[in-house]
Amino acid sequence: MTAKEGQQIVFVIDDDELVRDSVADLLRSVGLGAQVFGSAQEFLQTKLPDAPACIVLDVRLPGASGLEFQRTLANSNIKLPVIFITGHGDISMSVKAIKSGAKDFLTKPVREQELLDAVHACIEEDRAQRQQARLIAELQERFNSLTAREREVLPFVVTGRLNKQIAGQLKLSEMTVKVHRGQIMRKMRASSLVDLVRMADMLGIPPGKP
Amino acid sequence: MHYDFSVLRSEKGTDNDLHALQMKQIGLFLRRLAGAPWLLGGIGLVVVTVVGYRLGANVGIASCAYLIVVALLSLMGSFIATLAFSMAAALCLSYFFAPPISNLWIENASDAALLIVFLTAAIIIATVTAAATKWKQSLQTALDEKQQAQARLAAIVSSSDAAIVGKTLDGVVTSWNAGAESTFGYKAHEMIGQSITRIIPAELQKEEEEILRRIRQGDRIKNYQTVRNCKDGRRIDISLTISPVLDQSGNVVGASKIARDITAEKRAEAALQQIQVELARVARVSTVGELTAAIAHELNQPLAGVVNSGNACLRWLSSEPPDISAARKSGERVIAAGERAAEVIKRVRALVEKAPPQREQFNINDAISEVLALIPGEIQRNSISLRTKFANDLPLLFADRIQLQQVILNLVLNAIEAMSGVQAPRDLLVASAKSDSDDGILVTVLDSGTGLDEKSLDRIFEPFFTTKAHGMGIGLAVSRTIIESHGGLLWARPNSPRGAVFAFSVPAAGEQMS
Repeated sequence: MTAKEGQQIVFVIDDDELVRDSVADLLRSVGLGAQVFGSAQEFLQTKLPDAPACIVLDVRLPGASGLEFQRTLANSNIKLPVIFITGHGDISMSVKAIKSGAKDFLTKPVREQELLDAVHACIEEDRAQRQQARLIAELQERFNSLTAREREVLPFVVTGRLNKQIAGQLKLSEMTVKVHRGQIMRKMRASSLVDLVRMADMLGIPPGKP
Repeated sequence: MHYDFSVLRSEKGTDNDLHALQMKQIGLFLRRLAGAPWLLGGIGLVVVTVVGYRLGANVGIASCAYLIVVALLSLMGSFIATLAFSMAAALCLSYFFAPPISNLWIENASDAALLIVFLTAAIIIATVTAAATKWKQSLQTALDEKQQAQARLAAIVSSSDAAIVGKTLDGVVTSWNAGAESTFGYKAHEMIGQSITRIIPAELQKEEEEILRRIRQGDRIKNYQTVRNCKDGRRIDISLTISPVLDQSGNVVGASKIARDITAEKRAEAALQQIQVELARVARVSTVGELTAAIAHELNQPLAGVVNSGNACLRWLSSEPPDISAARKSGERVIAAGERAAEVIKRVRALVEKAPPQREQFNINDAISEVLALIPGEIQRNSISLRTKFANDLPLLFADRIQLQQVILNLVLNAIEAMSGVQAPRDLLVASAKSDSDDGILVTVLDSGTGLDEKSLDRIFEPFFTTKAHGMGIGLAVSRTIIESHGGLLWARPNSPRGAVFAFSVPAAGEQMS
């Protein structure tokens, strides 16, 4: 039942064994990995593989309701997209679900194409989210390799100031600033100033003030 | 003896006060006259004596004259005075007229005889007159009492809020009280001498003939509810009690009618019934609704399984190369889900069968009447003319009365709903008859509503099929199940010229359900 490492995977959480197995079967038949859980508790106790994934969740879970479960997920820092499936969805319930972050809200019996489209969209979203997270982690690593002085110079560089201006501001020689700038570009692996500005933006570094 | 009219106590009311005052004055005058017999008797005695003595009348003539005075005195009403003057007259006769004159001694035997005859006659006159006076007085008292009683009755009738009307056997109004005036709006002078049919709606004119026929037979009609017209054109619901009026020899000479306006009562009653019907309907729908939701969820789960696994199975088969073992597993899941769905259905059926039909013996006509009694509000609100045609020689049914009544109610409500939109006469006929095929009964509900097209006729008994905007499509399906569980048949056909006919037959003995 466990998915192979690196494969896209769908976590199916439904207390009805017949339903969750049939959903998993369907997902596997289109080449997706699927992992089934009988309850929210069971899911939270499992170590999740690092792969693009999403959750298909039955609202009428025993113990915690689906909406409650969604809140627990957010608190435990699991950012997986959730697709709700319900036997009898009403408007107020679907509004609540969507407001608390559900990506989709489907009613049983679910049309195959509808479910597959929703699952694909969610996995794509998760994949993009994961990529973004990975990129930020790497940039952070590069930023950490800068010296204290270089970190001091960086905000002024990305605001577009000339070396002379930065030297004046930080009471350094223009030559020293030029060396720091070269080091920053190299360590951050920035191909241009524009590239460096984008990286600083992603890292949330505030521009230096005169 | 004298009249004392002052003992008559006056009734309240100005007319009666005036009357009493007059009576009092007459009473005083007569009382004053009561002292007169002695005076008038004395004068009469003296006049007869003096005149007779001067003219030298004999005992016979004098006694005749005295008799006249005595008779007149007795007519004035004083028995004592009459007797006293008779004695005085006898003494005068003996003293002044019977020889020897100026002496009480009587010489001739014939004079003595005359004197005795005179006294006897005087006493007889006094006694007879007193008796006659007394008799006359008691007669007068009785008459007064009767008049008083009548006046009291008349006061009750005229002050009554209920309409009280008298009429002849031809329906001509003879009396019309204030209650009738306020109830119907017509004044007494507008109605007296007119035919009562004036206040009877055109379609109910036959009713009056029937009423008069029964009154002529001496029957009393009690609390008969019907509709009458008012002067201002309003129609009011009234409750009638009509009694024959008899003459002294017991012949029916007219009718007295008491009518009570029950429009408000009727309206309240109709509102109440409306609420009851609505309540029954809501209860029915909500039970069905809850049950449906629960069953729907129970069935949705395995159905979701069937659809998902079926789709998976197809994909496994169409992949390159086909994954037969995975497809087989999916197929097995389809079967498992299908079996579970069947299990759900079995459970639902077991649930329904827990309430077995309660069979009892009953008359179908009574059962139909009870159902129709539930819905006069619906009938009236939709302006439907309802007719019933019951066969009298029907066998008793042995069946679940409540269930059959549900079917009848369902068919009748459907018929009313089908007619509520049409702008033509809305005729509803509910009939019972012997069924042709077996010894059972046949109940037919005919309407003149929108009717059914060929397509609907084929499908109308299917569950969840409906031609109504807000229908569930359950009523007829349930009805057919009920009738079939009784070993009967329920069918529909178009009515002519328009509308629909729904009919069911049920065997009288009722087949035992397995």
